[in-house]
Amino acid sequence: MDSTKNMAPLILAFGIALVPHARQLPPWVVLWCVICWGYLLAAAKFNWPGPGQILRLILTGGGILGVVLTSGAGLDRYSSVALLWIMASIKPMEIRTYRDEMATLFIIYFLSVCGLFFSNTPAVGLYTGMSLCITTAVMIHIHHPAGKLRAKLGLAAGLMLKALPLALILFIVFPRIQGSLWGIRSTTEAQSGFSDQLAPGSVTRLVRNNAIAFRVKFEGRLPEPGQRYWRGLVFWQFDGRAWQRSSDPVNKALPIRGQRSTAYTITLEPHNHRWLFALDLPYESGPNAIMLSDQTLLSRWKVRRRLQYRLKSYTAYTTGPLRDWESAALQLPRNKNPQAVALALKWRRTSANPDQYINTALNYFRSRDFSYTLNPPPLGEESIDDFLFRTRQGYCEHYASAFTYLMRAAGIPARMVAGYLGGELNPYGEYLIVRQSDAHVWVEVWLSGRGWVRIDPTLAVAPLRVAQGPAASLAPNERAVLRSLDALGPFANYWINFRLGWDAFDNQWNKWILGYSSSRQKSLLAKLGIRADTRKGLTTAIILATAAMSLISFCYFLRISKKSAARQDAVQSAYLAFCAKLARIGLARQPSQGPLDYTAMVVALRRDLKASVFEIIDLYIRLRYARDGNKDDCKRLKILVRQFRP
Amino acid sequence: MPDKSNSLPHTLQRSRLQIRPTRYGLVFILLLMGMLIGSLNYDNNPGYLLTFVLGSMAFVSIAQTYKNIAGLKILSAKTKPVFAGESARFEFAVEAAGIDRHGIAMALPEGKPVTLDTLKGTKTRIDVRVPAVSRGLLRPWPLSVYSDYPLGLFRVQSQLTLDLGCAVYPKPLIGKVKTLAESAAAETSGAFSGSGSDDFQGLKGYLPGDPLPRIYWKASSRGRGLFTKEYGGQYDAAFYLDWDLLSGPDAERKLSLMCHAVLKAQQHNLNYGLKLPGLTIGPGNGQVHKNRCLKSLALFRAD
Repeated sequence: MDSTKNMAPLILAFGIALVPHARQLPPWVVLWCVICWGYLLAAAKFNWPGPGQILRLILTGGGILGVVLTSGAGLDRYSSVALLWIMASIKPMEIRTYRDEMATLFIIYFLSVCGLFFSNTPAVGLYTGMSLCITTAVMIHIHHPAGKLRAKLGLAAGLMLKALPLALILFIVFPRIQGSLWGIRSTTEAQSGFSDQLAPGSVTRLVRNNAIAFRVKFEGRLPEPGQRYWRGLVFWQFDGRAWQRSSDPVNKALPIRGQRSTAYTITLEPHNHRWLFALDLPYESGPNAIMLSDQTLLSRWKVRRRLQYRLKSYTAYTTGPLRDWESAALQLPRNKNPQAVALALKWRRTSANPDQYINTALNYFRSRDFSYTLNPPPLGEESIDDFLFRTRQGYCEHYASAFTYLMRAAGIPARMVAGYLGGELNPYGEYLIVRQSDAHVWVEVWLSGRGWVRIDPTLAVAPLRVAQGPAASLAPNERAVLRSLDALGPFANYWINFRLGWDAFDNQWNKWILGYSSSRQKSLLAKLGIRADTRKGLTTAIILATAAMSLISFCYFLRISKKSAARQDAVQSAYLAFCAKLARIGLARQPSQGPLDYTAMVVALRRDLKASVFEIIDLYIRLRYARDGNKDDCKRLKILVRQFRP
Repeated sequence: MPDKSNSLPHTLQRSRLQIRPTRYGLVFILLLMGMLIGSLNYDNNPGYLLTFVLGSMAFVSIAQTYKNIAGLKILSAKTKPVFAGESARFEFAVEAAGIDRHGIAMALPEGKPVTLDTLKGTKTRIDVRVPAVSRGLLRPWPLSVYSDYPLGLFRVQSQLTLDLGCAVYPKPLIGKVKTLAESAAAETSGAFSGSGSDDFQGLKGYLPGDPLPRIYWKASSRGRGLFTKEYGGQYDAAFYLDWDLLSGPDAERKLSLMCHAVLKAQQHNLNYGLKLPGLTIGPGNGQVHKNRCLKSLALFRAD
């Protein structure tokens, strides 16, 4: 049957295009497609009858009904793509003519590109590129069914490679608009990260997640590991159990004095909240962000898509005097945790100054049997007392929380800061990868003369936390949660290297492909001297650029092939002139004689011409058959033939 | 250009090729628009990039299409006469210089396109058919040589007009034709029904020129050589098939009747001639004679 001869390649292309969709589609749709295609493949092979028109109608109706039932009435983009796939599963059943095949290929192209709207990762991007390449190869196959598969794939890949320069130029100059056409939300759903409140257990939950929180590229030297505190949120109010961000502090940052300024760019993964992370302590907020007076940054919008911003921070700083509203840093819930309060009062009596008091508290963590664990026992109503005197097992939030409590109880202003500590250096891109598993909570106390000072009580129990990450300080049986790589044994290093290399690629992808926006476009075009301030100017520039580009590339392609053809003709006509000269002395070339046979005959009859004939023929053969001669060779051949006097 | 005919061998010159998108090319542009709107809506840069890659790929494929067809050589063309109502067959010899060619299609106006692949350096013969509707010299030009390879989105085409025509004989029509005996000084005319006599007389050795239907195939298929069946009742007397003896105003009908008579006369190995206004072919016999008669019927202008 003629209609089924291209069935297998078409279904192959469909199958390849389906893979990136498999995660978003309802599982039954995937199964449905696989069954339909499987039947068609088998039908083509064993000559089974194809489904009739009525059956096709029933399948179409059933599929649409199924999608409507699974997704509810609203037609969002998930259900519309599911509908497209239902059609894609039925479309191959109707393939009769060339027209149907082309229509099917167009559907495959469209669905492949649709897959990008659900996932932005470079893996999906590369995969979709490959999928389009295979679809193109199938298209070539339809127009030339004979011939080798590899040649078709090669041609398809060649076409795509040749298309790349033009595509990149279009990509750069095509006008972008900010936001989407119909206000459809971007691709991100709820993401992991910190939330508005911090309770015991909220960081330990986060730490189990290996996802990337953000990446940082420094413009100068990297700060020391002990300085890599990434400030995100500051918690002020304690209700005895959880810490709250409080009513927003005054939206006005006071100037801080500092040294050792460092500039860096952060690429933040979307987390659906407004807060931004910065190296402790930022002193300059970028555009579209505001700095609060507790030196945290808030984005103007919720971070729903990957966000890149450049910041400057001091790693040594003084924040100045305590402001009135900052007395919130002394707030404590009433009549709670009496044992902790009693302990604080006892220490205060014995301490000469706040520094001494802080050391006493840290020494307390160090000297008692406190341990650092991801699985602390649950705490009771009096959570601080419970932790300090009973369980003595906890993660950073337990230590920070108890420490802040002890500070406030002794009248030292203290607040909790949540963010990340550390980061993995990627040697392939010289940037830091900060993961959710680096989540950390520390404390800031206010000391007169120095302002807010960072103190990390966790280091008292887990001193290796800074240099080697959280896993090093945990008990061996808990490490596995964070370092599943240990199971890989000797291959772990290869895997880590691969992962870092891939992340470097991911980072470049984020920067150049995903991060290309209308503002980046404007600045890039401005660098090229195109005034893109006005919409009209931009449009004109784009039209001109596209037209020029099209013209240039078109002429380029025409010229290449024309030139080689012309050169070939020149070589051939030189050879013919050479033959004609020999024919005049009675040594005409017989039609059956190739250049070598002919030369042998000429040389046998006219030994005196041997040298010049060989020179010409060698050159001719090289130009004509080896095809490695250049323009000069071609010229030389012409001259030699002209000077040839038999 | 249509007036000027091309001489063979003819090489398809790049400068003479026309390019246009096929209708799939136009649909493909719509598809790209759809992808672009999707990318715009989701502000999806990878979507933009791959849409532009697809568009540029279609554009770049034009060069491939050109390369596929330019430099193709049409070495020769020939054709054989046919009867009206059959399809005329033009046979072209094509040579691919330089590279392998894929999916080269050739079509004559009103004929079906024929596709061929040729390997570089080889000659390929290709038959292009076109319906021969009416009697006369069929010159169905221009010949379109085109290719959609590799993607089918663009078509590069060249047109070729050759100084070659296919003689289309009248459609044979069974009917009574009056004949004119050659010796008849007096205009004694007989009737030739074309039925002939079936009085079988025997076999004689085959001579070139004997009508094919008379060959005793049974013997040849058994390997005994070629024999021709001889029938009695043959007219030895030469006669003319005369235009003027046919009645009726319809010239084409007359020619069709005469065509059938010629075929029958040759089939029965008669000694026949042809008289048309302004043209007389003396009595004779054999395939060459028959073809000459038929050709003059084909090319006859009744005005």
